[in-house]
Amino acid sequence: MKKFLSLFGVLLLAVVFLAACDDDTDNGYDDDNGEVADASAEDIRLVVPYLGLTDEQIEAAESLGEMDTPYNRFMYGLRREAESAMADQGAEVEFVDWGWAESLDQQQRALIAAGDAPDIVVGEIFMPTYAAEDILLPLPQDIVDAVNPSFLVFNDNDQAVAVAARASVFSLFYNRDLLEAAGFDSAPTTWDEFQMMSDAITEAGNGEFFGGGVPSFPHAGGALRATPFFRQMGTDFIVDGELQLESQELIETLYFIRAMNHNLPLGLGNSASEDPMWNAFEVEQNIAFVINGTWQAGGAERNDMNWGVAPLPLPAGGVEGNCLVAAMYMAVPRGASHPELSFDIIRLALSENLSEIWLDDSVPSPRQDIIDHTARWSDNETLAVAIEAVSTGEVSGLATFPQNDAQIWEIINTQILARTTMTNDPIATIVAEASAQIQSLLD
Amino acid sequence: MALKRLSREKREARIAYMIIIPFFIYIAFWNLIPLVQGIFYGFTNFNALSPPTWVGLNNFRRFFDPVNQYITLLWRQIWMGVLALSINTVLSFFIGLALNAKMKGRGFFRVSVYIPAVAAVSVTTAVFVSLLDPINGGLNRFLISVGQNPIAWSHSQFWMVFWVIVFFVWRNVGMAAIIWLGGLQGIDPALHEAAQIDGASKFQRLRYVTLPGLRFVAGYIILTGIIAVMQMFDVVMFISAGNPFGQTDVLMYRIYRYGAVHFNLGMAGTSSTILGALTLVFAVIYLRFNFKREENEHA
Repeated sequence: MKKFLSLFGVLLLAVVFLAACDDDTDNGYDDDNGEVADASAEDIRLVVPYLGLTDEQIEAAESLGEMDTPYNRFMYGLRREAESAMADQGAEVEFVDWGWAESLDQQQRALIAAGDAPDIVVGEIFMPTYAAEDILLPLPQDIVDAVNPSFLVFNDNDQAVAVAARASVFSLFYNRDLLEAAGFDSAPTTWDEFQMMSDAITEAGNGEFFGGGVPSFPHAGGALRATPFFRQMGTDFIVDGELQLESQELIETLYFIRAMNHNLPLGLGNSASEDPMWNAFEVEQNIAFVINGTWQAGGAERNDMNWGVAPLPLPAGGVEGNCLVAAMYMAVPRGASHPELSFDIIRLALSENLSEIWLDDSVPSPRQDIIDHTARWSDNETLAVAIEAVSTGEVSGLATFPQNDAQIWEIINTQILARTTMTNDPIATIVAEASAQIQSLLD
Repeated sequence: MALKRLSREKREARIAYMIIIPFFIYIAFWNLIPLVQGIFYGFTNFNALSPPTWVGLNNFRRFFDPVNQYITLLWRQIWMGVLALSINTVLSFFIGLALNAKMKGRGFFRVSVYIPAVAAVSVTTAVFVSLLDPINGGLNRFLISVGQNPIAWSHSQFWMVFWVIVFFVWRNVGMAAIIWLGGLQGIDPALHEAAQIDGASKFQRLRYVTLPGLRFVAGYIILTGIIAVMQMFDVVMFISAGNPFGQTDVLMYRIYRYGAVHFNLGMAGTSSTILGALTLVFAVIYLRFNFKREENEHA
């Protein structure tokens, strides 16, 4: 028995030792000066998630007849160009489908933790966390210079480390027929008008149609759409490292969100799924207003809506404010095997011919030359509203907390935003209780 | 002679070890290492982007600080678990009794109650969730059709706990019922016949013949049930996602989120260590109580 236990112990130690062994990969990249030591090794194979299309995705898109959508045209175009460009440099590129959001983050973090980082990391709301952890290489200056600053993510040293291949902002989409049914012929420009019109439409609808409000979905979809309204009041959940949860501006905004929620059908504004909201607007067409990214224009068109789009209404004495959404950030992690080749793929994703494809989807391109060339987008009302918002170079994504970012956002989404519209609890109580939890996560 | 017998035993033991050692290695690799690693992470701050940093007992202090709600979630895991397990155990027992009765279509009935156990949770919960949709859900459509107001199920802690438990029982009752049935069929029919001859009523036969004969089966169902409900999170995740505003969140679901979604692996490790230890304590208490009762009865 002793022998057996000894043998078992040795085996266990061996397994633990092997599992704990760090893969000390040398990527041949000097992190300090950005030089590539040796990118000409044989059998170079780059692994790139999300960007490009996998064979299975192409097959699926073809079977659905969707290869001509702007998204698929961009992704397929990038794959072809990247494969060709990498082949010229003796490298292969493998585009992999690891999903989006949490599943993509999980896969990327698992590989980063194992010392086997992918050659490019992609993502949206978690990319600022990657930047704050200083695991991303600074972007080459030519990339930084080519894009609008709204599309960049910076690390704590103010170095641009990630760039969005595309990103959108929020606009107010409306159903002209429902507005007319309540006697309105134009979109609201202020919060007061927005609330008054929405109340009137809900009343005119008598349960058949509704005015619409500000979503408070208990996930990032709610936070993203509510954030522009906080920013219009000159605040956010965190400003300059200081929590703003109990600020008067934030509380006032939450009261506005609660009031607007009365103009949505029961459970729609704070549903766990966003789909019923978009379905109600563009398919059932029984909601007059929705706050959504510019891609909403495509959905409205496909469903033959009589629709319109306008900038988000402003509060009295408020400022312009929006939030970047659907940002497809790309960055090169420090563990990438051939960083210069990875940056070349990012350059391709930002190339003019590929980048302008997004305009066809009413989504702003990150390229400054396209943004500056108004003739290329000014006839598209949706795009014009969005590009005007991003062209300031000051629109950013959701705020980032210095630590435990994802947990804090979960508290904001569920215990502040959703609770605001699901209950009649005093807002001050709601934010005070959430604030205590969040503060503990920041300590 | 004794030596010879001993060496034969040793030889047999060696063969046995040779057979089971691959499984030990498998378990060590897939279970023991992650277990040790998880406990280790409980003493660190680790987000999978930078190396873990040792924080000693900080995470455990954080766990027991009421403001962070870990204790609330642990308590909710326990009471929801006790509720789900009690209903499941009692209901499955009566279904087991019914399955044991001689009747037409018994095979069909047995298969029917077991089907939920083999259906994919993600699929069956999707059906539940669609029924609970406040606007287009079947339940609210039914309420409206009978002149009642629709209910925002997802806004109510009571209703979401109710549906989580309904789903848990619906899914698990068949499996437990089949185990009860196995136990029922293992009881010697002669005991029932003897009791009947002695004039025992149906209830007395249930009380004095059936139930004592099912002690081992009950022990198995309750013990595995304790472990299952202390690990219950998939049903919560799919049906309520912890909503409304975290009111149906349970500790195991938070561990999942912290471990696999938020990458707060330190607190995930701490929480799982505490939850695992507590589950072990519950299981040991139950076993000791069960064995002690058995010893007292044999004494």
